[in-house]
Amino acid sequence: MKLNKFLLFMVIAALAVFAAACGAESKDADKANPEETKSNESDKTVEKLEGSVVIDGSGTVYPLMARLAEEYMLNEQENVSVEVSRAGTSAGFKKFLVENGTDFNDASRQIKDEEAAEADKHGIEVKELKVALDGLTFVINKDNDWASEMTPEQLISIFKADGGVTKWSDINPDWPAEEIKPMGPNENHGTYEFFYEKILDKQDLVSNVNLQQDYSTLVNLVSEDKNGIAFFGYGYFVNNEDKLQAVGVDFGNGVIEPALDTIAEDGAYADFTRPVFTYLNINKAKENPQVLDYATYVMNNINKFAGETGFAPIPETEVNESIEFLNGLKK
Amino acid sequence: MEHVNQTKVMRRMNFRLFKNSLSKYIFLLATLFGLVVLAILIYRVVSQGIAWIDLDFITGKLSTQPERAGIMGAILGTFWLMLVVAPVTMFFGVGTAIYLEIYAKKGRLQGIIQTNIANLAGVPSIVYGILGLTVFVRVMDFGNVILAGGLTMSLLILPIVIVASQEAIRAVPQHLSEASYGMGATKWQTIKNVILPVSLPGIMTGAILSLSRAIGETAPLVVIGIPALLMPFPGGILDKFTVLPMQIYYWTLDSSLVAEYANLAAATIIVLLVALLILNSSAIVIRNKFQRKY
Amino acid sequence: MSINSELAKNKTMKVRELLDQKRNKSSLKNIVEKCIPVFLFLIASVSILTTVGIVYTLLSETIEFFRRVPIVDFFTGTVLKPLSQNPQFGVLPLVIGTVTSSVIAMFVAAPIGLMTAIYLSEYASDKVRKTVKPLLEILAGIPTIVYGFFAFTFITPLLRDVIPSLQATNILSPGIVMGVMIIPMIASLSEDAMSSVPNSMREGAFALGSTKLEVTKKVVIPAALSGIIASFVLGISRAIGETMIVTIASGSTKNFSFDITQSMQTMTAYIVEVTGGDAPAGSTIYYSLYAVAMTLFVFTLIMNVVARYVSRKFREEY
Repeated sequence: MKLNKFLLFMVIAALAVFAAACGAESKDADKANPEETKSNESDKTVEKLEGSVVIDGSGTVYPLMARLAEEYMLNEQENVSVEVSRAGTSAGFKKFLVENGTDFNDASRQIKDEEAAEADKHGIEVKELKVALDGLTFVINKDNDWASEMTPEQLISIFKADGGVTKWSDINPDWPAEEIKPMGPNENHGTYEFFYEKILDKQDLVSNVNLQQDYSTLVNLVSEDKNGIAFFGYGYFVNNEDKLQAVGVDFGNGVIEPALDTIAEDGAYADFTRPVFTYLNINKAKENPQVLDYATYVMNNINKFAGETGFAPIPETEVNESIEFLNGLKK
Repeated sequence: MEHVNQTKVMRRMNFRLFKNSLSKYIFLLATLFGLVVLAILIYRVVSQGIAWIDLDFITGKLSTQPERAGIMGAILGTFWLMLVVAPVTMFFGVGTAIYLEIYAKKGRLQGIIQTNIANLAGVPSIVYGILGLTVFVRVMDFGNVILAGGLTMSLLILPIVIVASQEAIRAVPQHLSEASYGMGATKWQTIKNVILPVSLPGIMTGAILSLSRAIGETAPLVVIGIPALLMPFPGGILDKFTVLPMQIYYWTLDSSLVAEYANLAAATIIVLLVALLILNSSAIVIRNKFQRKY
Repeated sequence: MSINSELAKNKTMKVRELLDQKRNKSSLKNIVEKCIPVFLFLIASVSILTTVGIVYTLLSETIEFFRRVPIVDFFTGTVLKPLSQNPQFGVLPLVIGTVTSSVIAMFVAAPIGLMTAIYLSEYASDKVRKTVKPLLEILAGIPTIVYGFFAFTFITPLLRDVIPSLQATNILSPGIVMGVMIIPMIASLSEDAMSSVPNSMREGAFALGSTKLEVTKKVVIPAALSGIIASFVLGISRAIGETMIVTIASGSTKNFSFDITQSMQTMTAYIVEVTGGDAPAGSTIYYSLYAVAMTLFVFTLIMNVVARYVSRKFREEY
């Protein structure tokens, strides 16, 4: 039986060595990064921060915020842990507006009155930071060669409960008499709420609309269904341009394709454009220097990464306003 | 001889024999079906993911950029999780098995515990996730850290460890423990010095096999809540973490956003399967090498 | 002589000392011996505590849920819109999804698993059995997330070539893959049942001139039927509780329909969707999570109890 004990000992010893080796490795990995650090503003002598920053919220804003979080950890503060989750705007707010909640909540719509009231109840001071502009994009299958241009009214009639449209031919007699399959993100998402409140003007959706939790599911569904039509943020379209086509929208002055330059606050696609936000818990920012530092970093770099994740940048004046506000929080 | 029509019997017999030999091949085909699917699955995953595996991928940090993404954080997360699960399940699993096999009187209480364990083994893993979320994450307020995940996983595999340990203990030949009692040893001494050492290989085998179940399990952790992007490596049981299966899950979900994520998921699957292979073969080695015949 | 008696005296003293020592020791030992069973009993009660914990958490939150949503509406409702402005919490769409996926899985797993068991138990040589069984165990040991990936990225596109109307997320593909996952379980449990049929019965039938197929069909399977049925029931229970495969490959559509080419949500996938990383506590949706989990728990519990009952009650003893 001594052999067994020996074996056990060996296993434990091996585990210990492995753990030690891994520990060492992680330090090496940390050290490997500094050469990238220089690319950022060098005027401030960066004070070493640590701790964590917890972000949850919108799946639409997730790619942008995850990208920023990654850059921040690689280039700015390697000892700060920024965690990004994506439960959806509403679900995110529920985790944000509690004691010891998250530090940031990404949102693809503005905070609601009842959510603001909830914040007051818990004594949470909230700062809204506008981070980018997103164009609500309607996507159809690549093989759909008839519906690539529509008016807002036509689009609404597809998704509205009593729009009188179930087949493509109901919109235009020249289009195929096949049933339309409308889809979209589910009610967890700010994208849904923006669509429901601002575009449908709070009219009910058709009962056969297929609402999904994951945007990736929507991309798949539409890319493989000739009669599918879905709406979501422009970023998700850009990443799948090879699989989907966007519907050009005729707001009255010719067809406008959603694109980074049309999705601006006064751009041609403005009617379907919405700002996206991240909400900061000010109490947390005051208590934890890393939260404030991260917020400042986000606003300083937001327009640099907006484009590549499919968002249109916001005006510099708005960025500066936010930065000024954040600087005011510093002691 | 009138009653038996030779040709009719022969014809029927031939048909019966034909059916017999045909069915043999159908059964064989059915058996091969599972194995063929296994082969396709492995081929598919390996061909998709192998090109993405290199040292940087294994030792690197997570990233939203496929070309610089690494899974060391997930590997360490899995490792830390096991560091919680292994001792906890061994302690409670072997303890319960000893109690049931040696101390408990055959009766109602023992029957209840035994039935209860059998039922627990059939509870879906996601229900354990909800238990973990409620008890460890919320009530005990650990948060979604390694300790909470590890304890949840421990509860999940505990029934398997208990049953395996019971079998190992039951397999200890009676004459060994009787010899020990005959020498004047007490019950506990007998357990400590005879039964446990003899059954250890069996217990270890069962424990390792159930650990490999815990390594691959995803659903309870999804419920507990693992951040989609978490770059720092975990350094203790109170750190937040991600594990290999969670990474596979997120990358598979996001593969329609960034096509390369599917390859990263495949590469992570390879790493996970290799880890499981190593674990399982070590279990087999232990079983074959140290299992003594009495 | 004197030396001898000296020695004897010495020895008796030693024995007496030893006995004293022994008594001291044994009192400590007695304490240990008495404490250990209690201690072990406490350890063993953890498994009971786990059950109590599961039932208690599920039940208390489920009761809270039924305060907000009438129990009848929950179990008879065909509309599940948890996040809508006028939320509706009918569980039937999820039950349909769960049942459909399990039925598809059993369509794959039951015949193939049973035939595999027949081949291994009745036809295969020892050598073949010794190679095939571990390979099937590998199939059983592959994490479900890997099966989910496989269903989503391989089986679904493959099936879409055959069935063009199949959606990108559908219940068919995860159902089939779940079936593959369950094959080893049914094969191994059924094979156990078949191998325990005594050889004398087979030999009797052979002596009457039966072919192997006839022996299998008319003797072995009837004799092992309780074990085979139990393995099916356990397979169903496994399919009902399976989470990751359906979550990844079947999407989150909560339709009350039986169309297997469409996305359907199972109870398990609903739990994953609602937790969505970390469920916000206190809302009705949050409590619906527990009501669905409770339903799931009861479903699988019944299955497991039935499986044990069948295999015990109807076992033919030889």
